[in-house]
Amino acid sequence: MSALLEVDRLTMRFGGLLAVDGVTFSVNSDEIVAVIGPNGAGKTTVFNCISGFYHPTGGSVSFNNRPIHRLPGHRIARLGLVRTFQNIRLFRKMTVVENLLVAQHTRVQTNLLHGLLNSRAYRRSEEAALDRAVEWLRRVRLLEVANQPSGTLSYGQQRRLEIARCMVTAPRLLLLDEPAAGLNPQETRELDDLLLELHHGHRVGILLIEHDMRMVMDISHKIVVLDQGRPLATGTPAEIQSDPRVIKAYLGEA
Amino acid sequence: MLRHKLTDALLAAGLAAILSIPIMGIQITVDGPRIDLAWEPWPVIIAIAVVFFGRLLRGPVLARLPRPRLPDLGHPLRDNATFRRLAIGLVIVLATLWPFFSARGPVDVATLALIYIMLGLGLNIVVGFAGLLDLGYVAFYAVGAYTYALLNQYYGLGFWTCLPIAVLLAATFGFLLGFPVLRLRGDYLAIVTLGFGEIIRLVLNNWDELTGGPDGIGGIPKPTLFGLEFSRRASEGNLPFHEFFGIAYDGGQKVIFLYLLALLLVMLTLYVINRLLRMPVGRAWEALREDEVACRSLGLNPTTIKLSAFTLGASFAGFAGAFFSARQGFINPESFTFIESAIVLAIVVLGGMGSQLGVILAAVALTVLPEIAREFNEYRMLIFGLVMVLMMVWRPQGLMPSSRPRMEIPS
Repeated sequence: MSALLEVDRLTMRFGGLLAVDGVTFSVNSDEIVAVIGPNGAGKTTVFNCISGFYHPTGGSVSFNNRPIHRLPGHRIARLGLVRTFQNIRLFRKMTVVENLLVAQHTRVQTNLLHGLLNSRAYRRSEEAALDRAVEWLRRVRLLEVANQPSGTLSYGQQRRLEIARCMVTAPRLLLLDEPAAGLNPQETRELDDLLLELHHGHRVGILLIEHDMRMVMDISHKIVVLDQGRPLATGTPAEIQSDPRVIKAYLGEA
Repeated sequence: MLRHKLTDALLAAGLAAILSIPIMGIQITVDGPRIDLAWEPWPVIIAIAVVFFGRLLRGPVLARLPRPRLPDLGHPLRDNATFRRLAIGLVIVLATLWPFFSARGPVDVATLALIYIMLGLGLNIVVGFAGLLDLGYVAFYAVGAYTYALLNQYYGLGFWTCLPIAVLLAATFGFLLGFPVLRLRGDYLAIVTLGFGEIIRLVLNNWDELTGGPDGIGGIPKPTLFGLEFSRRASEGNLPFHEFFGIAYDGGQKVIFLYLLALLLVMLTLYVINRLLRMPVGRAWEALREDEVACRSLGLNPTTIKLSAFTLGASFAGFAGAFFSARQGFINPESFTFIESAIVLAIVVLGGMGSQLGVILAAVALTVLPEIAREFNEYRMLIFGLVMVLMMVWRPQGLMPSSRPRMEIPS
């Protein structure tokens, strides 16, 4: 069986700058994979290429055996590959529950006539969307703040909402760009539990970029290390921790 | 600090000189067959002095000026459902009964105001909800108006047949324009739509064989009430309204009928827009305005969503246009100049982007006030500009900034 996501010799060039150079790895549907590397290693660029915000200048990305590196971002999201952002991108003026309703746009009844006439199919679809939203708010413990504008939430709450917003789309693979950035140690532990629950309970594959090494080593099955756009090493947490090349890249020439 | 202020004031005075010398300083005198230019220094000197000292003293004066606190009318209406229903019901009853006790002139002006309400509400979808700056909105208004006028002239179709056709055609034009241009943002979109508005007007102006060019189209029939006409004598095979009901003919009946029809169309517009806002597409418009990147990452196609706002907004302009040509009985391209787009946009901005009550109040203010203050007609654009500047200084969010109705989960 081939992997859920396959990234093959991915290359991204911005003018004279080669930001990503020949990155190859894969994610299975039952895996949590972490991408790590020093700042500027090209981690977010890899994410942008996978999720369709950039079109890679070389190599290929396939999802579920289908090449996706030429598709626009929204088409990729509809295939079940959904991402979060390093700097949280919520709809800040909309309420928490509305954030989750917008995310279900592609799942609900959007036929204008049904909506204008308030048909039964339309009402059922809206109710189902609201139920799903409530269900996920309960899971990420945001039910009490459901009717508040999402911009008023604390940082940790916003991170959880962004993940819930991905999950209501029923994705198959979740791309998380530094989900623990800005969280305190306790919130990071909670995030661990949430990600493991998503993974086991909802069978989503997870690909994450993270700087928190404790978290990366604890939850990921596989780690991809990038350095200056090039793949440096790939392996289990134990292998990566003892790899001299990785240690050198992180600590400099010793 | 003082030097900085002085340079600033001198600069403003210089600009005032550039503007006022050709406009106020040079007077044309006609002396028999001779036309002379006379130099008139005093108005220019006064204007420059006013601007210079005004600019110099702006800071302290503005600081001491009381900021007018407009009452926040939004909240009682938003928070109290029973009160809101009562208020809306009362307004509808009053609006329906009022023309029967009023003179003909005010009812006619009110009908015009209702047309602008329709236009304002339609453009509000595009500018207020979806955040797309459309400066050529009048083009769709023209499409609606000409649809009815032309279909009636060439095929003899009636108002009620043409109304849905006008809506569909305006929507089609919105779609066709939106398709290529919606990948543009902000200023670029504004310029393209501005151009489109002019293109439509120029086509109408120059396609003499079809549209009659600048001469326009006349003799457009008024709408009928289930086939009853509002004229002294009906056209062949039709019955006039007054004969059917056995009452005396009165020209006022037609005016009241047109007003009530406009009121009905406005209520239909309000109903449809209020549904749209509660629907997924309304949520998507707001989400797209807030963060397009996040929308894409969730599978929402920004182009489709913008296109839906553009198309729906255009369709309401078509709606208003068809009614406009029926009410006027005569249309020509002069009714669809850029200034109309600007007025409708001013209504939306003045009312508060995205606020429907605000748009209604602003539309009424901008159509009724010039009628009341006829003696100031010459200064209309001047006052208009002044009001816009003051609004931007004191209340940039509009008269009644408001938001989409929120979907809440019951606790």
